[in-house]
Amino acid sequence: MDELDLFREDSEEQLQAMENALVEANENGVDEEIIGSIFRAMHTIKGSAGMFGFDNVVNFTHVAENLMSEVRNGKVELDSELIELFFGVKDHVEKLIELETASLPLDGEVLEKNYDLIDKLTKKLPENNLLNEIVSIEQEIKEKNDTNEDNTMWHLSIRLHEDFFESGMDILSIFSFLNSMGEVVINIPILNNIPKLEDISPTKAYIGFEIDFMTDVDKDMIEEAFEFILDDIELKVFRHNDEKAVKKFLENVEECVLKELNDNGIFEIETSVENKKEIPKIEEKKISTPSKNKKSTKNFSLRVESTKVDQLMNQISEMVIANAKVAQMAELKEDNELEEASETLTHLLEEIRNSVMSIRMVPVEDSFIKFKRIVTDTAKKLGKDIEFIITGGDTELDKTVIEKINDPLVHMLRNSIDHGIEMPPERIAKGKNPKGRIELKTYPDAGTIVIEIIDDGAGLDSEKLKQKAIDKGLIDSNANLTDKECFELIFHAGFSTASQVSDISGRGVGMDVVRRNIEELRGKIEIDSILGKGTKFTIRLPLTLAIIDGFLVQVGNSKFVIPLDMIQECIELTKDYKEKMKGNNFVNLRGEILPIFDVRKYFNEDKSYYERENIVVVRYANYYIGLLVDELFGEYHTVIKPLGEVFSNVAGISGGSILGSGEVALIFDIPALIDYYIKQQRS
Amino acid sequence: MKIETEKIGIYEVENLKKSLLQELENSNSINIDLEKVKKIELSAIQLFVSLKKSCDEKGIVLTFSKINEDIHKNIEMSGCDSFLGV
Repeated sequence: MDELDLFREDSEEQLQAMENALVEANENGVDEEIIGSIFRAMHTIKGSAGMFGFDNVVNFTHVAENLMSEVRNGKVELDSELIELFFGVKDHVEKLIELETASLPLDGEVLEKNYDLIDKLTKKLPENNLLNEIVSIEQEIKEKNDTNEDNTMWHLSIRLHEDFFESGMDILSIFSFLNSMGEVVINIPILNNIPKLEDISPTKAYIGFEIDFMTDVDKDMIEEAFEFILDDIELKVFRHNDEKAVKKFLENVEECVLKELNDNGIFEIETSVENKKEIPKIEEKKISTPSKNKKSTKNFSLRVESTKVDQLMNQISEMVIANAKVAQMAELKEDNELEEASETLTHLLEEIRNSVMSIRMVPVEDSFIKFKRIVTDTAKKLGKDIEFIITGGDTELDKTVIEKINDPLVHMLRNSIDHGIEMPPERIAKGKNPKGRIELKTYPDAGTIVIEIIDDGAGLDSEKLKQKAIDKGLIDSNANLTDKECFELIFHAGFSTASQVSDISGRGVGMDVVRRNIEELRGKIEIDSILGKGTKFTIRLPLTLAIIDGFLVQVGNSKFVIPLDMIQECIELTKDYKEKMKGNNFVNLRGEILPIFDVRKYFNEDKSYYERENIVVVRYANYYIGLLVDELFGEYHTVIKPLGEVFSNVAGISGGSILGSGEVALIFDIPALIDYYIKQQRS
Repeated sequence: MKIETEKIGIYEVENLKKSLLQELENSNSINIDLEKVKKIELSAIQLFVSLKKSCDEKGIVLTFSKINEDIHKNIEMSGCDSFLGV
């Protein structure tokens, strides 16, 4: 990931946090944390944009940050009007970043918006601040050279790591940014480590810098300017008048640097050097201040490319397979010690796998909270009043899955607002609360994550849907469809129920794409609806994408893996059961009828040489089915390997896995098998 | 010696070093013409410092010419302007 990508990602996160804070302010009122979030977003983006020389972003966020600073000081109230204005600010900054990072100029419309927002923001500033703002713009250059009382002289000591240039960042742009925060009074390059031309490796960095920097900003802000390269440099920042810090610095600095500093009259070096010997060496433990302790135990975040986590996951997956082979060999050779060691390794691998997987897992709320604004804006546009509730936000899901499910969810929410929830007068006439309600509910269930969108709107009219499908020639006029099958018609490409196509939804290109996207994630979508009461969309997604805990079985001459989370129980198909079945495809399981699916028949497997037959009872959503298999081998941690294009569309198989023996085992796609079974029974 | 690329940075310094070495071996004085250069990165400035060190050792005079304002500003910002004599 290059620095620009990092900037984009970081800004995106900051803006999202800002939007979440604004939504929260709208709903539950303003508090310090909310104000802090908005201020931080503007402040951080301004700082980062400055490093890249994105002046349009810097200038705009500067004004917004300034106003938020006044809000923080209690001089300006963050009322609903200002909240609305900052929603606009967020969108505009997003646009500015998009243009600047693509090296595109601001076009007429964006420029107009820029002026308009700056005008609105500055008008909100208290009068004295407004005057200051004008003065600061007019006298910016002049003031830079003045040393007013608030300005402090800082010293920055910078050493570049050898591979600094590979980071893609040019430190000169940061120096340029420093000049916008204050004044680089002197910059002494440390050149002694640069070899002669004959010896230099030109892509390596040898240069260093000793800088005196006059500014009114604090240490954190100075360090923030270097945020993107902190891993690639050694940076020391301290006040010129901080005797202790200066002494410590001078104690550890190289002779040649001392000379340079001396030659340039920095720190009154001669005195310091003379005093150097007299400075008592302070033992580290004695000066361990609380802040230092805090630093050593502080948690920090690491930004890692997701491909690296994927790679790690793949490597662990390969180890799982290799270890399965070791376990098998140990069993064959009846080597107990090896078997024990392999078992320990299995546990450890499981722990590592869970830890790596947890890196990718994030609470859905972080992503779902942004839907609040989408719902509010869309409802407002349509003149509807809607209460939007998120429940189960702490449910964790793979970040990739969350990202991929985002667009389908947005589309479905818009559909619910546009087609589902009625206009307030209509709701009143129906005896409903004029305020509609949409709930986005998430919870784990049987190895899957369920996301539900529930609205209390008009519900789906199965007859109307059916008629429309007949009119469009999608189904035969004599088709006998259940309500549920009628609802599923909305997933047909080009099917739209809206009598009038709006710009919110209803273009008829959405729901088929929604279903396809969900199915691509090995998920399923279902609809339940009661006319006049509301609609519920239920999306089921697999918790994991790469590894599953499976259960290994034999069917005919092949081995198959069943996802363990979906297994309810295993039953031996005894003679007694067979007699009771009387040739039917179901058994009586403790008083309940359990349909039996003959896997051997479905996959055209040969007759098994195993004497015993077994039923593995699996559940998906509200469906239970018994899979008729031969031998049961038990629990098996397995890696899903894609089957390639040729086999990718084999119904009932989600992937393959390599067993320790080198054999290939196919992994059952239980939802697809159940789906097939239901359709077969209906036909 | 005229630099023909518009930008001199991490991707250009390897080749630039080779050219500069040739100049160093064959000339008594070196003039670097920066007319075409519109962007300079620190890696290139560092390479010029390295060249200057070699020139000083060998008694070769090193000069820079036709430096545009932006390039000059960047060299100045790096603090290497006086060492390089620009």
